[in-house]
Amino acid sequence: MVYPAYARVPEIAERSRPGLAEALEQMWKTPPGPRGWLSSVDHKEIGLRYLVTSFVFLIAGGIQALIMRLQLAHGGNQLLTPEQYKELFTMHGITMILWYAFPVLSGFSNFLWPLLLGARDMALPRLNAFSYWIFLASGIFIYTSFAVGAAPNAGWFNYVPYASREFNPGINIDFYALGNIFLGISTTAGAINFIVTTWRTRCPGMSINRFPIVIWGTLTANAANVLAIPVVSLAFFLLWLDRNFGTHFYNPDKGGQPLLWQHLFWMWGHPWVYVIVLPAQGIVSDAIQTFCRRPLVGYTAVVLATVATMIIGFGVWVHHMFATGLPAIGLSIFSAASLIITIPSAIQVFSWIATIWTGRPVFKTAFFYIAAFIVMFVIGGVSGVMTAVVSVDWQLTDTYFVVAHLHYVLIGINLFGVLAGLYYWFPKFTGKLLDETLGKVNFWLTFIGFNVAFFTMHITGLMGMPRRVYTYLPGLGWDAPNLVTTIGSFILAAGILMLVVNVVYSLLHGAEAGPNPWDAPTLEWSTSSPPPSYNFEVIPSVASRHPLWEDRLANEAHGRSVIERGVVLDDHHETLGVTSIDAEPEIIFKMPGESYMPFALMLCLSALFAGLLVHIWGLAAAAAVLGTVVVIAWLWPRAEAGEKAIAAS
Amino acid sequence: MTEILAHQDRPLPVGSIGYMSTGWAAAIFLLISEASLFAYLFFIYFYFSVQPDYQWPAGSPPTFAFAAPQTALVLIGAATSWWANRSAARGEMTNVMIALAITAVLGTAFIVLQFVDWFTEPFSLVSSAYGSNYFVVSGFHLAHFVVGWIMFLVLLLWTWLGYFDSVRHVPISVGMLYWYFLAVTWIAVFFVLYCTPRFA
Repeated sequence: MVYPAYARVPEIAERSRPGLAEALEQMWKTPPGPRGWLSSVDHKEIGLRYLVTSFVFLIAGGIQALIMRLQLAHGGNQLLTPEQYKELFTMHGITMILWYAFPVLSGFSNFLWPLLLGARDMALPRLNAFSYWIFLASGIFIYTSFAVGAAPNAGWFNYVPYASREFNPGINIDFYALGNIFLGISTTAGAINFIVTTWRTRCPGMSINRFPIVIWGTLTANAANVLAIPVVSLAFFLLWLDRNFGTHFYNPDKGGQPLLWQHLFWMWGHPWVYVIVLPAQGIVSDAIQTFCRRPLVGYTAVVLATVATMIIGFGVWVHHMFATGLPAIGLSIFSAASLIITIPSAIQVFSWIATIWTGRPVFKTAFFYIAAFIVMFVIGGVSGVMTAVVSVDWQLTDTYFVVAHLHYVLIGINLFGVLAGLYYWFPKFTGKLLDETLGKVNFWLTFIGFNVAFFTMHITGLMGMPRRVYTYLPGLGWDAPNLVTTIGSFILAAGILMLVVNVVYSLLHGAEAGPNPWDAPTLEWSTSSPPPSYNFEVIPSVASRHPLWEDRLANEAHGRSVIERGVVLDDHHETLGVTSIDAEPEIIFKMPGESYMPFALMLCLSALFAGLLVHIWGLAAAAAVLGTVVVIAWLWPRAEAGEKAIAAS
Repeated sequence: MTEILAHQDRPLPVGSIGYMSTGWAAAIFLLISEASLFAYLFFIYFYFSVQPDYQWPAGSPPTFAFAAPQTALVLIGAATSWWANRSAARGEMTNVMIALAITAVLGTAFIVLQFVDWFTEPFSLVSSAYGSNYFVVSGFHLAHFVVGWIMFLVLLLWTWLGYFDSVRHVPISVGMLYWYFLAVTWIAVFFVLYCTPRFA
């Protein structure tokens, strides 16, 4: 056991110093077997768990969509009952938006963040493990509703009064209410971790004007989460009180306000749209440099556009409520705010186009996904502008046009960005390259299937078909476009299947990647693939945005980044803390190692939420008390982490 | 960047120290999130209060009899928690324990007063939309307060065990920050629930 002094001069050495890598590996490696599974705090391990778990949710949500498309393939179909259909579309929406779209981005960010910033781990490694466990537990919690035959059934935005006890007496909505609050704990914990990591633990020279764009995208999204998650947790908590204790927030008979639900839900819901696309846009902004062989055009403009999108995104929620009878002046203001979002969005699009135009594109699968992402973003953006206009929205609201729009945004700007990122970083995750031939098949099936399915939906919507109907009368002219959409959705599913095939094939037979297979510019490519448990033998120092391209870029930096030599920090788990803006070395942090506390706290919270769900108050109270004890044990000052007075050590 | 490495001959602090620590940074952002929760609660309260034809509050406004002393208690507690942190920075650990103990006692009194207030009010959680709002807003504050009260008891234990000195005492600083948060949110709750109904 080491009892750290209050200060020391950090040693500087060559990265290749004999014995250094072995010593660090001994300190940082996660123990093998179940012990490691339950106690690991390694950000790479947690990042991969996030990615795999969210892809499982993607596939679950996708299967639900396919069943719905079979039901809608022709008018008057009786494959599903209305009750089954509404549970399926609700769980599809919940799964994709809450348990896939953001967690998958957290997976990328978790794996990459310390590697991009030049650190040994996230600033709060145990909180990182905790946020994953809660994400998993809350997902199991919400899917338990299927097992007991009472899945949420009021749509993912769950409007009252249909979601109130009076019209929805089962336990269905309580699953959603508590499950959403449960997931919110994970999202908030993760958000704090990303912010603190960016603020405190980077390598020397990683000043804020040198962050990769994915850092900006994820940081912005998580700053928004800190401010926006409380409102949705609160909205669901009040709904749960209304349903279980007879309070009067949403039910009109004792003065409740049904429209309040819509305000609260969309005050979170619209910022959330940007939360789940900004990090994906960041992935594209970074990957596009590598595949166009040049730095991003307009770095500063893209960063400002990212932040501006998020800020304006807090002031547009009423555009989901244009048809609720709010005053015209209010609608005008929110319509104008929604239209203004086109400006920062266009800045990003033109920046990407200029990067491709002035670059030398390398036509790998990742680049295909990047290019498709830009096209999908433009289509989804344009249909968004259309629905931002009040008079057009009154025509289109609650039709399939809106469904088409939101899928262009969520699949186009989230999933396509995620797949671009997966093809780009898979070699870093696993040490193997994804197969390019299978990759092209995967891309074209996904791209064609997606557009066949969802572009057609615009037309279905313009023809007047309302969303959320379990069937429709034949002969209204809706049969043909619905059949096309169903066929397209199965082509899209075949594309995703090809991705799974490619991942499995490449893990078994893929080409060895080496540290930097794409000749990419950023820090994560300076270490081996997959990276060692300690990330970097010595902490690098950076002098530019593209530390690995400095030799070929004129005027890129005044000095030179130093990768091969740096601060060693080999006294147990350590990483460097820096000043927040300029990233000058400030402090040596002692990082915690493996811990069972995050897992234990997850168990306590699971018992707490289960108790609240089924009204076993004794279980809930016991879990709360036990959880408090676990938190105190978690935070108990430890000598080896530099938290105790030396006299006491 | 060679100049950064060249400066590395001076010693750097090691471990968890004051405002440089990750725990301090995490506490700030957690409290920003919690503060936004209260902002949304007030949004809901005022959303109801501006509806036409509403009896808001239901009957006479809630009484100052307990809320006014509660306000005094949180302000005194802010001073004693500051004193605890400052004494810790000076290494005066006996003073730290006195300050933490006083703060915990003030917290106990605050919690008792809140419950007395609750049982005195003529409306209930389920009697009207106003009652639901009043109890949920003050209930959220009380829940945060109980967390803070437990925090100060644990800090008192850790200090008594001799875990802290003038360098290592981040948890005491976080405790001070948390009490400031409780004080600021209480003043907002006091203004919204107890003062604004009397402006009409």
